[in-house]
Amino acid sequence: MVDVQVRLEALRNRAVAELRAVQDEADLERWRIAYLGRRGALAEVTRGLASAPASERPRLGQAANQAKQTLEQAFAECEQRLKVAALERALQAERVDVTLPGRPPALGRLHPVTHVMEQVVRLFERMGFQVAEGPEVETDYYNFEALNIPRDHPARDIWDTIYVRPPEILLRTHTSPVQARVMEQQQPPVRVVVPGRCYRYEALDASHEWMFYQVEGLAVDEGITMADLKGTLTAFARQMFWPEVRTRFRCDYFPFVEPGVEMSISCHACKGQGGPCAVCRGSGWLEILGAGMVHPRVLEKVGYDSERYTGFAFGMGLERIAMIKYGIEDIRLFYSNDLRFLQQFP
Amino acid sequence: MKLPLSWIREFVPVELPPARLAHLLTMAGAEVEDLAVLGADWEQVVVGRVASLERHPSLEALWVARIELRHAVVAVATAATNLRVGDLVPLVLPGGRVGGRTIEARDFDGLTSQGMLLSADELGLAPDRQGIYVLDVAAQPGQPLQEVLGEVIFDFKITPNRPDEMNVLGIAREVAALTGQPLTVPPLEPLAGGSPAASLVAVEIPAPDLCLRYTAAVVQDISVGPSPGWVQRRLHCCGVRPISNVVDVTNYVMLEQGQPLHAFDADLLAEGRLVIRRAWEGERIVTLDGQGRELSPEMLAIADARQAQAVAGVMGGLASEVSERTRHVVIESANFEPMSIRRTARALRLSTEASKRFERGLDPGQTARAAQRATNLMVRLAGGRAAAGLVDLYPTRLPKRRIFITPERLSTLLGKRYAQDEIAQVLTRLEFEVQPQANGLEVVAPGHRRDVEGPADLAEEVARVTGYEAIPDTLLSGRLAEPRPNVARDWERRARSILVGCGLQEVITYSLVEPSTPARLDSRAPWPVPSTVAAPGLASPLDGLVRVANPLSAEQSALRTTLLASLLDILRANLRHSERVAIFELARVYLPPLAPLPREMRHLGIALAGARAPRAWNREQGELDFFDLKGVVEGLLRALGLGAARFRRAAHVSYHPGRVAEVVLPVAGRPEVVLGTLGQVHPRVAERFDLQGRAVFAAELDFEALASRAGEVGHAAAPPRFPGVEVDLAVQVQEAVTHEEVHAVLIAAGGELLDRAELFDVYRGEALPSGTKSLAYSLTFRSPERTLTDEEAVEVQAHIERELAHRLGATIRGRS
Repeated sequence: MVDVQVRLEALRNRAVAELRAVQDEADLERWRIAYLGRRGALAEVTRGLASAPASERPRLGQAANQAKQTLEQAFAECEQRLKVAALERALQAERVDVTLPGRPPALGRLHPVTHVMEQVVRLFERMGFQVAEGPEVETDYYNFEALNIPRDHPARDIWDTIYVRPPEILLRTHTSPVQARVMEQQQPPVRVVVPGRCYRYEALDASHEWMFYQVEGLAVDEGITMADLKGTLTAFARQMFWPEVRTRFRCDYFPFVEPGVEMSISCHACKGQGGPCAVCRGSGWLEILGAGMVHPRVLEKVGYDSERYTGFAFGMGLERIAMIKYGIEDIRLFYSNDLRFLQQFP
Repeated sequence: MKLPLSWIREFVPVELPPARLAHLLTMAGAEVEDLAVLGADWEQVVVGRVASLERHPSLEALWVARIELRHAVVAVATAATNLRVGDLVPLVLPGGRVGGRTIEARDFDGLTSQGMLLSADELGLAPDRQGIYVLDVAAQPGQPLQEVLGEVIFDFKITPNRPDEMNVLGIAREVAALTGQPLTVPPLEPLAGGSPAASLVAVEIPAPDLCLRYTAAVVQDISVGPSPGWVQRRLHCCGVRPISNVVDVTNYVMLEQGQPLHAFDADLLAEGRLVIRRAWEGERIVTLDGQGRELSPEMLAIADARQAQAVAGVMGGLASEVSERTRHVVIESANFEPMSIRRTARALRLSTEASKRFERGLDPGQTARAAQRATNLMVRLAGGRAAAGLVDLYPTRLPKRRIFITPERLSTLLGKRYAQDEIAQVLTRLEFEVQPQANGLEVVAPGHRRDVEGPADLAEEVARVTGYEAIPDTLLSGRLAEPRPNVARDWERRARSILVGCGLQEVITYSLVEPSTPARLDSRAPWPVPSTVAAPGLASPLDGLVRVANPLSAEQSALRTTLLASLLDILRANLRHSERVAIFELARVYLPPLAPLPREMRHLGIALAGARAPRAWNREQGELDFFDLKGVVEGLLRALGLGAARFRRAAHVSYHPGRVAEVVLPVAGRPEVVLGTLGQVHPRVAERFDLQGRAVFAAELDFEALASRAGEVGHAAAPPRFPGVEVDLAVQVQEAVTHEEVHAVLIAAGGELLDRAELFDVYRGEALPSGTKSLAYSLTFRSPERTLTDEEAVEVQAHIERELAHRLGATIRGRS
């Protein structure tokens, strides 16, 4: 009965050797049928056990079982090896060119002026200012008279006006009329910012628009000073532009403030160095807004006690802010609304 | 306003570099907009002395001048005939540049001209093109001309409150205050010796309300001719055209002292009288510019015994203009009421250097000084004799305004403490009268500072002279008002972010449109609008827009009542280069009538055309359609808490009649609210916007209505806890039956157990009888309390099917 054992041994060796050469599922299946199938080689040897002496059978049976286990394990291993290889092949086949462009979603964006307006408004909201609004078609009273600009005053030349029904009804030339409208409705403390459209009778060119956006600001209470004006607007400039920005205040004139100032920021292109800078034309500074302490007469017109209350007001053009922030050289780009221009903004 | 630095230096010995001085003035309020150097573009331009002059040997029109330089004599050809031996003249040497061109040596029939002699015009010194410019100042031959005639010219932008700075003396005064340098005003020569001025001209002021002061001087036996070079050069630097010595003197003194002057030919004033009176109704005058003008009694005239000879403070009259024949002149130096001058200048549409100064408010105290200065100068330039004294009527003296100020008051305004002495010192330097009191200062502003009215003005003086950089930067502290709701603005932000999220680009378009816009948007209206209707200036019965009175152009002359036209214009412009245009705008429209203001309403406009999605190498290209637009609108409404809004077929003149819907919001117990319209733009309208052949979709919503009804979710529901049963149901109905009707039956019949009913397919085709369609819904049955059994679901579904059949005549596909 050595014969059976030898045959089992040989069978096992042959089977394992053959298995090593198996490369695909079909070969593996053929191998399984050949060795482990019902009519396979192992089954044939096992059937031969019947003719072995009874005393030998348990031992031989055990040997046959061992052989079977060995082969089944080898089969499982091979099957696993093939699976891994197959997945590997499949993954290789599914490779994509990762440099191909992605499928683009339709992306919308805010208009840059809205974007800048929201930034400006948000900054002042964080400093306790609330948003107020007012009509774009205004009366002469709110646009001029209430702001200490009487009729026939030469300061009116500062604002070329588009009239709806002259001389009373006009398109507001600034957002300042909302100052009086707000103060008529509430007692100090007042802290408001007023974003909105304004209009001037102005021929369109690279630096002039007849329609533009302003943000007006007004803070009135006891004890508000020019130092607060400077500090607040400098804080605004640092947040709006860049942290190292410097501000400069020079004397300027607007009839509704006294003292009146104009604020400039240090030029971002030449870092305030001036010289041959095209952005600030060598001055090192960029004018960005007009401001001042609210004129006592403006306070008196809304019934505030100008001895008790002081305040500051400021107004800035948003296109100008956007032009500085994004290096835009032609103001006409904003309202011609070319998508190729608009879609570059964040 | 342009002024040469050399002129300013006559009054204040400032030695700062020009750029530094410009900065100082700018910071203090007198903004120097530009700093130009006359002669900066002169290269190799030198002074030469004419050593000899002879005719060119062969060319008849030319002279050959031998010009002596420092170490050499050069020959130069010239056609000018005004030269004399010994004259100092400007010469540009070969290779040099002037007025942007390079001059080379040039051959004139055998004579090589070593450069070119220059005229005043070529040098930019004066408009004179006649002959070579002959220097009237001392200079060395060979000296660069720039050293002799170069000028630094400041171009100021003077704010309307500071008419006192609109002249050399005013700027010099400012420079003195800012630098601490002394201001020196050269003394005037007394007017003595001749006949008394009052015997030569009689002045009366019947309108003292409009004329505060009238001062007149007389100069006799003058000879009118051109001014000397230095006067012409100065005027030219200031942008004033030299005319004659007499006229130039009036301009020169105005530029120097800020007092507008006028010279009358004394012989042409009837009876030698000047009457400062209101013009008569319809009185006519021809002003110096040759224009005939009609005056009115609101205007002040300077008249003689017969007629108006000048429009006071604005412009003189042609009838008494100084000419070459003039022998005696009356010089007017007056002060007029500012607002009246402004009204007159505006009414006549005639803004002059004089009116610009008068309307801003001049010092009545300065008229005599200016008259005397002009008289001195006129005698110097035009010869003649000054009459003795002045005629000086001063009926209205401005009251002195005393302002009391304390250091405390200043620090409440400026946020910085200034010592009383420092305040006094600054104000004194600015020529304010300052009286120290027990606890403050009593201040009187000088006559030329009519803008100073109260403590705030004094605070500005102190701050601007000591510098704003000296004031600290502090952040606001103190009380805050309670936050006020601004609902519309909050929803505006939300709406913008949703629309941007839907892939729409925000645009901002002009508020003013063409008045014919309503007709253009009306598919039934004739287009172009017949000219009888579009006559300019006439309110068309078609439009009902608020017009502006002084439009910049016809295209922008009416306030818009809709955003649609503006969006279609932007759409067209962008479709030229973009295959997909999806835009929105949130802006106001302006609805008539003026009562007194129009009603301003926020509208939301959306416009779409072109590809549904950006082109990609791996995507099928589809075109945007009605349902893309509707999807955006639905998404927006849901996000604003307005998911209850309904869409229904509507009629609108701008839209395709079969593809237009109205968005309405049912309101319990009240009439529903119309939120807006959406649809495909009518092809005829699209064509009018050059969008022919394109499917264009647009929506316009009343954002005020949206915002006032938008809301947050009241009660948030948790996700369902129990599984649902999903069933598909294909409902076959007549073509006329709408999805909304089917859906309503589904919801009503499904009752509480129907969780969702979602349309997933619409089918028309051969498998169906003609005139019918199949709407396929995915139904989800679910109970909030337990897991639903199949039997329960089947029961509800059966009820739904019966109801569909009963109410809509529907059959359920797949049921036999």
